[in-house]
Amino acid sequence: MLIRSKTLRSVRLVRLLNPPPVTSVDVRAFWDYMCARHNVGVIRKSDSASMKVVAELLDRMGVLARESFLLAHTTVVPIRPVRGIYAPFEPGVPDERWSLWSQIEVCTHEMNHMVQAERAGRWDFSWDYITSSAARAHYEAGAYRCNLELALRYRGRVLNCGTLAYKLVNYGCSNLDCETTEKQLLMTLPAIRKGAMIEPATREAVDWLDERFGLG
Amino acid sequence: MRFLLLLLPLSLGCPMPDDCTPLDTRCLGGNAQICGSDQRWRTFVKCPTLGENWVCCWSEGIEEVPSGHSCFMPDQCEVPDADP
Repeated sequence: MLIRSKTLRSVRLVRLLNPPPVTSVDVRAFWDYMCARHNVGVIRKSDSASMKVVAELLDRMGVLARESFLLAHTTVVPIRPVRGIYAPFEPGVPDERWSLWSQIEVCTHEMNHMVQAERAGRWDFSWDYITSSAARAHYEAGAYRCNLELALRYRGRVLNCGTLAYKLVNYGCSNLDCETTEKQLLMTLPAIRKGAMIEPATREAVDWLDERFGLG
Repeated sequence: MRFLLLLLPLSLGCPMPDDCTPLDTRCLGGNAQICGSDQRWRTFVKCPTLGENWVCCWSEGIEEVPSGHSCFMPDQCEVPDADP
């Protein structure tokens, strides 16, 4: 028993010191795997006419600058005929904003939204997300928890829950929505620190990553 | 009247609030819930899905973690059975 727990500790230490060395091939394979699981495609945001319209609208409404929406945010749409993940990068091709590892994280984050949409119903999810800032904050909290879980598991880093939560100001959420998000992220930290994986997309990602990198 | 008819589908689409106090937490059926800014309870973690040792309960805050209900190991619980 003692030997086993020492082994587990050393595996965790190795993970902490050596996050998975992901390559472009790994990232493309990861996106292919996650997209196949959720029956969804990836569309380059800059190639999408509908996303350009949304960017223009958000910009004119003063919610989010056009460039920021198109270059710094990935967007998920769970409803046909525009169902898809609209990414501001090509999976597997890193750039100054999107490292290979951040592409793994954002894929998991967006796939968690797909799971939320399947569970709540695609139309109900979309309606709630658009019309209620409290619901939007709640859905984003679940997706940010994926970022927390992956960062702690593979990089040994605890992301700042307040920093994550207050990003929601850019999503039309109030300070109270952000505070609620921060609190529910913090409340799950003890479980995540003990290795629990709360979010379904994290479990899918970890299954794939651990097998790919022999960390199981 | 037409205006009210237009509002009808909107009102049907908006669930009634639970009248909880935003930021409050509770356990319900093994789930940890938080009260949102719209005064509605929402589940943020289903403790039984984490494994058989996890329970939903109240715990005093430790370091950056505030006091409240969430999934903990039984020895971390201040009140073992916190379901209202």
